[in-house]
Amino acid sequence: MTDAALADRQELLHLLGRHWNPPAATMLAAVDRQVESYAEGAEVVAEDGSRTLDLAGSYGVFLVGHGNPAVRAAVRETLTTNPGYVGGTRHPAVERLVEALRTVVPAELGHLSFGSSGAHVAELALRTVLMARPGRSRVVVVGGGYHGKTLGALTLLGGDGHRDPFASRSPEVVMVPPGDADALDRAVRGRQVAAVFAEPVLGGAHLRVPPPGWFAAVAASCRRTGTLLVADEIQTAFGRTGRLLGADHDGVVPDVLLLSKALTGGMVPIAVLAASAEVIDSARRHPASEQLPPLWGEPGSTGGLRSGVAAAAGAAAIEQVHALDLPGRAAELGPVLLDGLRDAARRHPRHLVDAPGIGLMTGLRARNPAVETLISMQMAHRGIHLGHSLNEDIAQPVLRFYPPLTIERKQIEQVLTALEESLSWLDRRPRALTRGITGLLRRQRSLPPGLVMKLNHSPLKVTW
Amino acid sequence: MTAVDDQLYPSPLWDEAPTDDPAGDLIGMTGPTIVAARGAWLTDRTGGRWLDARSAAFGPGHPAVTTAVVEQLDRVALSSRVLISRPLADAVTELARFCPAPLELSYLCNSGDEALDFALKLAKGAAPGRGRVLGIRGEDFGALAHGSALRFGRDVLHTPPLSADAIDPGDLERLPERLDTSTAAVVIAPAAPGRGLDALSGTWWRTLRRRCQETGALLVLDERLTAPARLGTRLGCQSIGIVPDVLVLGEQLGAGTVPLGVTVTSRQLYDSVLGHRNPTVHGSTFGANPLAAATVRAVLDAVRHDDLPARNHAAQDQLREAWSQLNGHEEVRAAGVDGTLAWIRFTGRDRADRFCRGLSRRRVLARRCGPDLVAFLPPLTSEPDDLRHLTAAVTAAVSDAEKDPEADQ
Repeated sequence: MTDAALADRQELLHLLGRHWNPPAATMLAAVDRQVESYAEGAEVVAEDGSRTLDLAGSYGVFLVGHGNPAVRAAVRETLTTNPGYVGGTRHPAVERLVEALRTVVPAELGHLSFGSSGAHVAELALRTVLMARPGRSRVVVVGGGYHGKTLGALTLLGGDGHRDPFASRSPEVVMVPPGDADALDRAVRGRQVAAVFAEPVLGGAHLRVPPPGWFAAVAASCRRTGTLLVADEIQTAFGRTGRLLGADHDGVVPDVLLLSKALTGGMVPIAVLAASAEVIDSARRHPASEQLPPLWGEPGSTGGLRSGVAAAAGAAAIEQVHALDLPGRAAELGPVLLDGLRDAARRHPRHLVDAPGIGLMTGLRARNPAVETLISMQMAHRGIHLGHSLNEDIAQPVLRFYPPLTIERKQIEQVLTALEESLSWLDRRPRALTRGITGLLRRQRSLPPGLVMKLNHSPLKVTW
Repeated sequence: MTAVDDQLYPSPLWDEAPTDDPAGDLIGMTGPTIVAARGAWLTDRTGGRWLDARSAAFGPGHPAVTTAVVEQLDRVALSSRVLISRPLADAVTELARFCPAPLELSYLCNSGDEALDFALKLAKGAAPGRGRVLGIRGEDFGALAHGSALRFGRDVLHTPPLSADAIDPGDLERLPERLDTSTAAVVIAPAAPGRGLDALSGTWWRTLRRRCQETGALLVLDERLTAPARLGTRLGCQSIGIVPDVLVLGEQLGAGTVPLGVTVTSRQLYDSVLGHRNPTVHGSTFGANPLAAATVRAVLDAVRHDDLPARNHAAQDQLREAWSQLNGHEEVRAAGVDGTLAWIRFTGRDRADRFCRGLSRRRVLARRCGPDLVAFLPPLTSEPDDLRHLTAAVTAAVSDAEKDPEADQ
């Protein structure tokens, strides 16, 4: 590495620390990251030419691969000819997106509203279900569940870490343990609950595949009690779990469906809420129905969508999911990756609890946050980025492996080889090491930044 | 067509305008299919041309901006953000130059609405014991729950972290008195459709600024519509002569193309809420993505290079000349122009409906902001000829609105 390249990275981090996000710049400096240049397929390439396999993937955004040529061509075409989406007009890319969504969204969910992030549509869903069930004030969420960090979506978090101090735990938000159908049934039995918000497979740092039939039981409990079921498929949709939708494993059609992440095609932010006629008609009867989120197809309304470019990305992404049979690929390749991870968990029980996963939504549950961090760093040295939870407060975080569904079998083998090397490296370290590092991780933000750099052997300085 | 199709494609063009506008986003038509957009003009499938004074666009087809955005698209658009981002460092550095000190930290997210929401989250984080946010009822505060609550003047969630306290537009003068130590933040735009820059004096703004300091409430300036360049200045805060605690920017910075918003704040405020916390305490999967960052940089370059503040200031003179003729019409209750933010408040909903239909017949798209309120937000890059077309259409459509309703059929 040249001095000039190091000075350049130092300058970029200085600017990011001064003008963007000081703690994030410190974190990037500590792990001595290179500068991103471009990305293609499953790989991200740095300006120094180093190539990394990307299994972090923003927890599922790059389902069709980085820089997918078909998505990129569609985005470029719309960007250069007809980029906006003006209320009161129609846009060919939007019509194409709506047609494409019909191939994913169950026919019962005919009403669409758009947003620019999963958190945005989670908020729209919350508002809609409260209006559709006006006599019911409660909402049920799943422990560890995640629906975004905007101020309204925060109230739905299935954990306290990211909520404090912005929102206190609301008595109207009832939390049930993941995968526990009986607990959920008890929670909705009194008919006081407007809606259950649930991910068919619990994502986040708690990645947990529920027992077969759990989501169907949730849907049945909801149906029996007039409770609405909001399926947050932001991580699970478009084939990630080996089926087109996560709910398909249990044959469930929810009342409201949320989609985002992979819908972007890895290019342009977009999110969708799809709702049944019953939900929308009920909400329209609410005295404050003027607060119902804008619905696509209402005269003059764009349904909250403002970008033709985002629509082009979404339409092309869905077309790629079908054309490349990505659910089929996840079903076929998922077991290759998951068997390898389970094998690793069996062979390294000192560090790993288990390997949860379904399709290509997979991970390793670490014994403690230091194990997650050390494996992640070792894998990065071997050219593989994983989905680190960045959450040192969780006792046993899941290090996620969310590859593009376009990943090649030999790339999965490369990941598993690197993992074995990383775990062997960890095996040679004393047992006390990970406990000590966990303590440091939990205190890292109160340590002097210079010490953090030194502990990480980083050549960079914190100047912001 | 199936029943679902009927739902999705409901009404024929020019059919009776809806009587209400729940989304703040209707003009009473389903509209033409647009296949191309350049500057202020949209071209439909039949070759017909429409003037966009509705979407508050930057101006599609700007050569330098388009080139920069496409170049970034061809490298990396969204990112896993595991590596250091050069486009992001460029964008936030430019934003710090663009905004007044001490506003130097920029949070990039996916819409102006999200940026406004993050401002409220900062306010809550800075003073977790405070439960109120102040705004003006009926104005636009974005589509997220807290913004909607301000617009409608009632909370839309059962237990929102901040409860909306939306004052009546008629009580605007008294807004500063409404602040107390339970107020986490005031959110206000420098100007808005229906509320010109001259509605509130410099003294009023300074009083508000002082009251925020006295009570410890954050002053959040919502510049999603007013910046960059819209009011004839780089930022609206220059027009009102105060520096807020948080500045919110929106879609115009995304060239009306790449969904993005920006929350700009001071290091002191940022550190007090997020300084020593895990960087994942707040964030968004798509936030700070390279495509958005490159777009911000390109738009700010264009604002400077093309001197868009001066151009929008010159446009103000042109629009005001036409607007001065409107005051003679009895259908017009009030009208205003600040830069290229123009609006007309009619004496009633039916008059506004007829006006909008008249405008649509002339292939001009404007924004319906309320039953009696119509706003005109042509692209920031509009040319004098575009604005002449707009003012001619507006003048003619106002005459339509005067006509007997029967004559309109």
